[in-house]
Amino acid sequence: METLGIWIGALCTLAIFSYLLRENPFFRTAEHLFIGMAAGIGIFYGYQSIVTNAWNPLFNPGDEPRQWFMIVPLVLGVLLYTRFLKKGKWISRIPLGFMVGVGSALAIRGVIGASFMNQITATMSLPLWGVMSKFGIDSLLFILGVLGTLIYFYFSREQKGPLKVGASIGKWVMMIAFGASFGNTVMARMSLLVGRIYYLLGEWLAIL
Amino acid sequence: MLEEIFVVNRLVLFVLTILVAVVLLVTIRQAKKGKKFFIRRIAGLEAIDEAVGRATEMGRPVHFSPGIAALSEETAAQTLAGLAVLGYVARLTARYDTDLIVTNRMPEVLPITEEVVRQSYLAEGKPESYNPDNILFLSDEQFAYAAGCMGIMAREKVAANIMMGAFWAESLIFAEGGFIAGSIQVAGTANTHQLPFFIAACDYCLIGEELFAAGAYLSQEPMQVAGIKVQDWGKLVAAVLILIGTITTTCKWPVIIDFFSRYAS
Repeated sequence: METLGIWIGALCTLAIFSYLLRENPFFRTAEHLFIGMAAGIGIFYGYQSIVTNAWNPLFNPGDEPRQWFMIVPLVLGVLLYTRFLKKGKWISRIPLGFMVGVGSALAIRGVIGASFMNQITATMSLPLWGVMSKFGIDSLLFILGVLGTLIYFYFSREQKGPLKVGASIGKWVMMIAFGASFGNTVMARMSLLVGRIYYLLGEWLAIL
Repeated sequence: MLEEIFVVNRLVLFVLTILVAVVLLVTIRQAKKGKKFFIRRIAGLEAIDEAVGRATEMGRPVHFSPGIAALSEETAAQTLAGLAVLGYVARLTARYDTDLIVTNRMPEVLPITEEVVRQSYLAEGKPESYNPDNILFLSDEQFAYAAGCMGIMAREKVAANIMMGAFWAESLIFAEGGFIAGSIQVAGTANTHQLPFFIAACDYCLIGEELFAAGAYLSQEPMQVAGIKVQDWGKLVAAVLILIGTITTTCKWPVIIDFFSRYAS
């Protein structure tokens, strides 16, 4: 059984890699297998999630206290299916609105806390010069970079004059950061490729 | 006393949240009364017209992905911003009678994309051109969705690939898939770790907050434009605080830093 699994894994890997040449029936087969299996697994986990998180605490609590409020997500979940009704389609907007509301509320906390305030306090605690011993201007560069990036994303004025200079600084700083990030991630992807080649040559063909 | 009522280390966040909400409400009110707020041109967005125009000339479809984030996550804002751009793209494809294929990863996003596209076709006076079969749910598994998108891009030979929303490791797969299909690509995300791939592999890219400004810029809808205005004021406040903070730190006068360390951690 394990050998069969290795063969299926290896053939699917080669089928997906074959896309590099062109779209072909092997890739198409792997693609549809992948999507089909993901759908099957999704249904299984979805069912399990409903049973474990909502159905059992509500209807089969065992020794635990019955969680009556679980009726709310269950009803909201059922309401999502009203989109298939011609006249009751609008009802499905209620649970959707609930989800969007929760998402927005989570985003507000994350954005104001982590992205806004923490960035400000971290930058304002830097002195204008002299943090690292070799490069006295490194903190000045950091501060200029942050201010330039803020100016780049200022949309209420045309980028002219001083704003254009600031935005250019911001753009350069971002591109340098993106370049470093690109290099890091490419290295990580290479290690994934190496892992896959090792799987093909080692576990499948046993020549490594 | 204050410590008994509040979690004091979040006091600044609390005040800031209330302040932003109030300013936003006032600004939206002004915008609804007709006050015009200016938003500068965003270069990447104008490429969307070019991309749809190219697809029309070639008689090939446009592919749109609103990203892979769920609506109940912190990144939901990116999906919603992407949907605003989708509305604009759908209006263009309706106007020029070009096929639009929208692929979704999250099941809850599917009805919204359907509605956005349908409304856009209605707004252009072409409800009969709206094809619900072109609004697809592929898979909620990240790489199955990516594989499905690649296959569709190659088989349908999409001439324009527009990706707006939250993307993760599949971003480069999409961009390469679109490149192999020979499409002009416009992308936008606020996930900074994926931006390098879009910048490297796409023709035009909306960086970070440009994605959020995109919806407001395209629709010129008062509520969205007011939101951008308030965010800009937030940036001004941030810049001023950083300047004051760094100067006081340099002068070894730590009162302001101490205040923020205590009440904004």
